[in-house]
Amino acid sequence: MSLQLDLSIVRDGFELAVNTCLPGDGTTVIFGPSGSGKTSLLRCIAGLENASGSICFNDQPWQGPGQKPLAVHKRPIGYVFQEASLFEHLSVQGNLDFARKRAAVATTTPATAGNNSHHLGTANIIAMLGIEPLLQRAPQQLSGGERQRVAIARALLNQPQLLLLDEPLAALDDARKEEILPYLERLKRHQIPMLYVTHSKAELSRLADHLLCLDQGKVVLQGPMSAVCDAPEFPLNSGEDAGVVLDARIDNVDEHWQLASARIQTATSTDCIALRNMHYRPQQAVRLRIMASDVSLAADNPSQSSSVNNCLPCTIAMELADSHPATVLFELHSHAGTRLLARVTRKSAHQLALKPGSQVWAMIKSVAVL
Amino acid sequence: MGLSAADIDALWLTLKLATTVTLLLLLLSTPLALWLSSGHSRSRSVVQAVVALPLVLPPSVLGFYMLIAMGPHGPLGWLTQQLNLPTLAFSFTGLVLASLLYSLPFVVQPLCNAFRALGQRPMEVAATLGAGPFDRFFSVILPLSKPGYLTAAVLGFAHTVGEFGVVLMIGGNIEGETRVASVQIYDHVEALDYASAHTLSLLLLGFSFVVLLFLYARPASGKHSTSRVAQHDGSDSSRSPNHESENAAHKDNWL
Repeated sequence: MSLQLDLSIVRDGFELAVNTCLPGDGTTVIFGPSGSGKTSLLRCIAGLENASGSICFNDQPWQGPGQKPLAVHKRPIGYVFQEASLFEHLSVQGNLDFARKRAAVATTTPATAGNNSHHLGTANIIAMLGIEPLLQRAPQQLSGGERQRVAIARALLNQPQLLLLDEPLAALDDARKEEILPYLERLKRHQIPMLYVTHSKAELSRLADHLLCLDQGKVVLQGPMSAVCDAPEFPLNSGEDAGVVLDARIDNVDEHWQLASARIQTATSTDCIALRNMHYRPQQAVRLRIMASDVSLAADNPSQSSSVNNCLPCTIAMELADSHPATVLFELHSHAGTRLLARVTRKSAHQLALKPGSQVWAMIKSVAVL
Repeated sequence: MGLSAADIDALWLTLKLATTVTLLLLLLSTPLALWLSSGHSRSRSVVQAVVALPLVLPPSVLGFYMLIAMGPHGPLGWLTQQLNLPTLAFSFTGLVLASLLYSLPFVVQPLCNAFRALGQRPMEVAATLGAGPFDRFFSVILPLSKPGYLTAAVLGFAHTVGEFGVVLMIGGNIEGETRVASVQIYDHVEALDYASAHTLSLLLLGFSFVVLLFLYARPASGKHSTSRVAQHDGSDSSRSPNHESENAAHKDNWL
């Protein structure tokens, strides 16, 4: 399962050149600032925009030299647009039926009939996106979040082998984003391969298994999240909201103190992080985000003298430039192998004589469960 | 103030002409308007100018050129001779042909506007959902541009009914064949039969008023189509595919 891309666009003042192979499973986040070409790339993959070069999905050539590009409606894709794109002359049910009736058209090619293991039933899709009560309504009667959920359901009912999402949350306010993100995470669990375009670090941290970073039409970073997270170009390694994303698994739940212990699941780490218990089950997978600004450094073991539960002995690996001259970012490696970022003032760093190689205690004041 | 048999014939002929022309125009203008509204190019500008010519040209000029074209030395005349068909000039078919040109802008323009207001997005959505070109037209464009089609049909019909100069040039004044209502009124006035002219004129006046009333009153009853068009237009222009909207200062709520 893979998506092989070798595409280039040259237009007035804009160039895009992408030559890469994206995994055909999991969620690949295409991340980049405005104008970096991420939406153009997605539109080219869908066939909505022309680019020279080739696209090959699971050994099916969609576009290539000496070949007429496969028409958009013949590509086994689903596409969720940034803004609500429901057909206004049809009810929600009508919109869903539109996609369902045409699902076979897009997937009857013999080469692809066999590997559609992630097909979902209509009822499952409607339930997964929680749109049962909306079916009889007209699109005009829906909120922005509801429209986007229907649009996602519609794309899924088309039984795509690849779901393309172009900043599906960008047009929504924060509350609506929070309303939809859990549905996207459910989608992830159903193993539908997704390409997700966004410029939001929050969405990136929550959804990405794999990352493709674009800047000015060029790929600046690419790879599985665990492999790219320590590159300087990694979006979460800079900016006000710098931090780390860690995949973890719930080890045990302390009913008395209502704390859950989450064991970090990276190749090297054996650390455990205490979390507020949110009805976790043992072995449940959770993704944690620890912001650099939520990590303080202490020279001595603070566990006896501070209220912070999560204190890890660490070695400072590297000093990174921060966005403000008063502060500095340190990349830390805990003795048990967890990578963390900590933001401290330059003054504190000087007073504690912090430099690469220093032994410190990282005090993690808060952990976000994504 | 009654209608004579000749008046009724003229009205019937007008109705037949306008209906034929409107139906043909809706068919012919759809692909033309789809092409014209799908982008900007030099060839489109030229075609658009040609289509709009009847708006500014005196009908007699259009009629004159049509008459020349249909004559024995004109291209249309040559064609009908080669095909052993009766000559087009002074015939109902010739009238239909001339009216097609004459009313073309009144049908193409509303359709163009409707397709432009719709934007590419519904087409793109339909394509990603597996709908081919014809499927896209019939299941998405056509229902979404229904108000545009209605306007185009009404305007095309009404404009053909109001035709006079072209008819006189091409059709002459043959009863039951080319004598439409507007020509009949002219005949009555020529014959100083003002009473008959009044009756027919009043009918046409009433008809035109009702048509315009229908057009202008429609947005109130069809509110949802107009508001949708406005929304679509706004969102499409502000979020064109290559321009990713940035929302730099956003903060996310965690946990």
